Amino acid sequence: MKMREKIILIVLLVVFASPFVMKRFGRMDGFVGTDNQAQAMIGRIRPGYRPWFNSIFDPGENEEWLFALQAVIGVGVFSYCLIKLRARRKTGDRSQRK
Amino acid sequence: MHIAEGFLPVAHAIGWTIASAPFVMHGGRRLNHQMREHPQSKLLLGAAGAFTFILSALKLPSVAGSSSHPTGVGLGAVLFGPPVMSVLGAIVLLFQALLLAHGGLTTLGANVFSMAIVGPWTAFGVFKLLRRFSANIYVAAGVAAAIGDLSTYVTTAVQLALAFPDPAGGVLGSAAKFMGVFAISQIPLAVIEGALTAMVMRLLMNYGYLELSEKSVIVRAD
Repeated sequence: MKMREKIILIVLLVVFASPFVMKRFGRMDGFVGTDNQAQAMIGRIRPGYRPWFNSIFDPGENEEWLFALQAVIGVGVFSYCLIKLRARRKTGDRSQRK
Repeated sequence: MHIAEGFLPVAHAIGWTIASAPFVMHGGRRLNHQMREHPQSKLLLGAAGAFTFILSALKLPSVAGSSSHPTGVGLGAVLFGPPVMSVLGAIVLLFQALLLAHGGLTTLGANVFSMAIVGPWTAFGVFKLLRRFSANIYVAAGVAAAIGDLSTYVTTAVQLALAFPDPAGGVLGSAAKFMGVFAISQIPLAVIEGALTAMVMRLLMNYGYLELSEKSVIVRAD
């Protein structure tokens, strides 16, 4: 693996892991999600508005874990595809050399 | 950019669903075709799908005490064309609506429209334009993904403004308010998304060039 590829992979891993690490150590507490801010803005523009449908499944406290799970599944599939592509390229190179 | 469950009036929820459906269906046909005609591209498709899966779960801290997430649809739009990303993006949004209570079923149409239709098409357009002016392929992909990210959030702001016009300023006044919520925190995140997209593009071009060189959008665009 070339140096540049290694650096890219390390940067990706750090970025992907950072929100969960920050969350774990309570460093995300001061940050409010923009989706929630938009919701609050709706409340200010039309104070009487009530959502007319509720989530079928409410994960409650477990939401953060489910977000982490989504990222982990994504990283797993992504790594699998990359590793397979890499292996395929190698065998491709070899057959071309023969 | 996820409009929460039940937070769009019924007429708007139905309207955006009707607007999004044909794009997703057309994308489904294109995706099917892509997999049948170019089975070797499945791994790249998987990587592009996984990328948007990861990025849309990534709640990153941004300026002014707010946090938000990138969309990750630019990469796939540049590699496989916007219709394919309409399907992959819709799948991600459905997953989040059902399992994470993030977004919702009634707002799925509107969220698909902003993240899986406007975002990919904008990214694709910007990419083609930059390539026409012979920009470097990674720079073009990065800038395209960043602008695609911003276009998604602008769309969400407009959708909310149409549903909740400001009593004094009307739809425009309301749009300015919602834009104010998203814009400042999203600009740094769009830059991050652009940089990540350029880096992943570099990896995929390295490892998957044989698969790409078949008939991908990138090659056709050149």
